[in-house]
Amino acid sequence: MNAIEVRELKKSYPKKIPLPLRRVEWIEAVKGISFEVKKGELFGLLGPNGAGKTTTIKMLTTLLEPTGGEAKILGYDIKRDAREIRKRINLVAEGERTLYWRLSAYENLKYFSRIYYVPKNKEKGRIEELLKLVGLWERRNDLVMGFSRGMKQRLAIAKALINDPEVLFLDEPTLGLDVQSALFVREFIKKLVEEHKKTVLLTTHYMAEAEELCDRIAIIDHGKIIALDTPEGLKRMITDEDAVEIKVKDFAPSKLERSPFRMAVVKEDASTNMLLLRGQVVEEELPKLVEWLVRRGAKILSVEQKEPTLEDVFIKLTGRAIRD
Amino acid sequence: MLAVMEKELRMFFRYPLRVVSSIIVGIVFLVQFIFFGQAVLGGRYSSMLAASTGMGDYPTYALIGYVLWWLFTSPIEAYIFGIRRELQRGTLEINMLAPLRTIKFLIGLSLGWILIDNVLMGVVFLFGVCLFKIPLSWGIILKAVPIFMLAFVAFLGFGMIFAGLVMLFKNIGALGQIFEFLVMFLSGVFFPLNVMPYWVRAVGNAIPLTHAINIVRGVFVGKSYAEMASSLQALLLLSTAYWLISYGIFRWAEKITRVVGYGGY
Amino acid sequence: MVATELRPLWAVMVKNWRIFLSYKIWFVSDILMGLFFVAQALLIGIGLTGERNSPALQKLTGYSDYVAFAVLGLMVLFFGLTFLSGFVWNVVDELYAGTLEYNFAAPMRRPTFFLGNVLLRIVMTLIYLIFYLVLFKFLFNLHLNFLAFIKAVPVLLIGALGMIGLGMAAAGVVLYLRDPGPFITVLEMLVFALSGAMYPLSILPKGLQIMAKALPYAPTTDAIRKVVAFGYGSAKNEIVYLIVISSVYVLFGYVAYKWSEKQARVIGLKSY
Ligand SMILES: Nc1ncnc2c1ncn2[C@@H]1O[C@H](COP(=O)(O)OP(=O)(O)OP(=O)(O)O)[C@@H](O)[C@H]1O
Ligand SMILES: [Mg+2]
Repeated sequence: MNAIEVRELKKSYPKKIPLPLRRVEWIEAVKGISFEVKKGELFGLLGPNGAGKTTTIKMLTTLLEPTGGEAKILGYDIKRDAREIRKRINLVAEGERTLYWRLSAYENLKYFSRIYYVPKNKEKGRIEELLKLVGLWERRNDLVMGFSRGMKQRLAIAKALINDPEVLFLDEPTLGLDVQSALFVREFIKKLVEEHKKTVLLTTHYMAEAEELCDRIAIIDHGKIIALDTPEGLKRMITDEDAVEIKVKDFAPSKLERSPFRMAVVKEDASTNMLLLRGQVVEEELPKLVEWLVRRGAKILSVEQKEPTLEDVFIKLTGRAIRD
Repeated sequence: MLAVMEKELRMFFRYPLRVVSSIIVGIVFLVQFIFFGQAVLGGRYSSMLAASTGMGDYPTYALIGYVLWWLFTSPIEAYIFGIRRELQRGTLEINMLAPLRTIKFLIGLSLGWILIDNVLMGVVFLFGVCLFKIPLSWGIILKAVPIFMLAFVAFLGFGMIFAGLVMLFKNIGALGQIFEFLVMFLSGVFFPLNVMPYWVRAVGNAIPLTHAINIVRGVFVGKSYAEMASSLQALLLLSTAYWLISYGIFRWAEKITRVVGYGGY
Repeated sequence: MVATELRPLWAVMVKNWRIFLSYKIWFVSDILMGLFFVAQALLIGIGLTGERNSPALQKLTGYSDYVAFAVLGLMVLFFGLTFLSGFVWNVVDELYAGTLEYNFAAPMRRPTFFLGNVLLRIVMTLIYLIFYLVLFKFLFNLHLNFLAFIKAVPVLLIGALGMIGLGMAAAGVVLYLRDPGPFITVLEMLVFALSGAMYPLSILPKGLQIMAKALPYAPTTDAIRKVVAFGYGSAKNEIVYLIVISSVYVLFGYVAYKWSEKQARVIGLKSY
């Protein structure tokens, strides 16, 4: 049996509160996605801002009602068996303000252990174990208010393990963390899957993170899955050519839309008017691309060949780059 | 300074329900006590009140006290919440760094608020006048306006004390509120001060609001300025004194915060 | 099912208690608020009439001691606001804190979450009220018959049901508002003005009187004042009316909340 099965899942948000007798417009945030996650798999949803990642996670964790389609978690239907699902899963939500800042780390975990029906005789031991696991045992009696961003996220992860869930949902678990904390979180997630045999579904818009962690990745854009494979499989889509990064000055990115080349803006520095373009170009085409750019007023600062990454897959599929 | 004020105004009117809610709070508060007084009296005229203060009509008596109390509290709240919000948004430090002088910035910040607050007060006042059929004439209004202005200058100075306190202690919202309510007792807003012990009246006399209320009530019963010279003198004196005191406190608080840092929120 | 929900229920109460304790100054200002209104009432009364009793009030309501009259009214009001504000602010606070979602994602049943809140508030309010009664007795030399007062508790509980209903409906609305603060304030003030805490409702214009009767507060106050002063026998009409209106509000609150919770799952919870 698969841990997660999603079929044609759809979600639209109304623009206004849909009162009876009121006509409202709806925005399609998720437009019919399907995928499966096997038990013990680390599955990633990769996509730019607004792609519909959070919406998908909220539907799967029974917080949002889908507009259409269906999904099963551990064999339970997300519409009909919400409570059974809630007992067996847990999530780390997006953002920093998700725990009680006015309670201590210990009190937070104690509270969540009780609303998750953790048996009384296991409560103490589990909280201690989890706090030690995320390295917060020494700070257990301090208020969360005084924690750093990274500590808060580690506590959120401890909270997400409080009911020993079979499936874990992580929404952008490293967003906004410093390098060191992000590293800790990534290592921790790996450990959860390898040693504790959890099934994990995580969302991210960091290419490298998805590539490093995930067994399989679904690339999602505008509410649709546009590719789904292992990181190697995804990269195989583009291995025949190399990636090129071109640094240019004084060039309007809008001109790229009508270019014969699939180049995307990876970085933009408004103050110096510099752009970093990236895309796939076969060697013979490169002079043509440079010429094309120069003719449109661009000053070429550098041209570099790069190892292809998932970024290039996304560029190839959409013509855009995933940016912060 | 105008820019700061405009920003405040725009922030406020983005939430129209806030305007409504402030007005309703104001009305309910006022009506609460006047109705209570009327229920106890079985009417609106109290000869007791007339004997002790010269004004026997309770709704008029209470409305004047209340409106001036509102005028008195609005600078205090403006300073407290204005600064607190800037602290919360983390923009205080940035604004303090701007070439604008700190004190000007503060007044700009609070004037916007005070302006809105006093428009709301006006609405509540008019409501009170209509509901309780308060006798009002142009003569009375013209005579009361200078007093309001004078009182306002005094209150602005008084409230500045709180600007200094917020800089030092950050979270004094509740404290400010408690103080405002305390003043209701000390200045005779809803009841005559003669029911209070001597020392309370003495403290009350040190608050500019007490005198402002006395003068405006005098105006309403037709007294001339000359008859109320002593109250006028007291108001002027207190006004100067509080401007000096609060300016001193504020400068001192500013110096201390520069040393210890503005601190996050 | 009840047994398994007890631990979560207790946990919700403990959590809220801890959070409440972390706001110390507001605690003090809460207590002072009650003192403020009662003292104001006493001083206005004395300033206007020079006496502790008012024949005018006696004619209107049967109470001649206006302080006792105000104390009873304010106590019902405070008790009632506990539900309205308590419920609503609770939802808003959790929304602001961002913690509502984790609660809704847990297997704990929804009523447990709300009940935990209400129970803590009831306990706290009762402690407040006892504290007030003792305080006022000494400060203002209040003559209230404690036994009569205890007799009125069942009436208070009936009224409380209606107030909880109203609170649930309001909590449902609040789930959607962009800026819920003013909405709650308006509601609180409406309740304040129409609860008949500080003055008999008969002093209000006709339209407002009807509105007052349609909310669960004034009927509770009326019934309690009657019971305390004259006993159950003569308060029969008031009590029947209170039972009817309370049941209506319980039903209404439940339906309104259910509906809005379902909506919240369609449009997503607001985040600030
Ligand atoms: N509660 C809501 N009401 C209306 N529209 C919403 C709501 N939540 C999300 N949306 C819209 O749905 C789309 C998908 O949003 P979602 O939060 O799922 O994206 P995401 O992939 O998680 O993006 P991010 O990387 O920014 O977190 C966006 O266009 C967003 O504006
Ligand atoms: Mg998201």
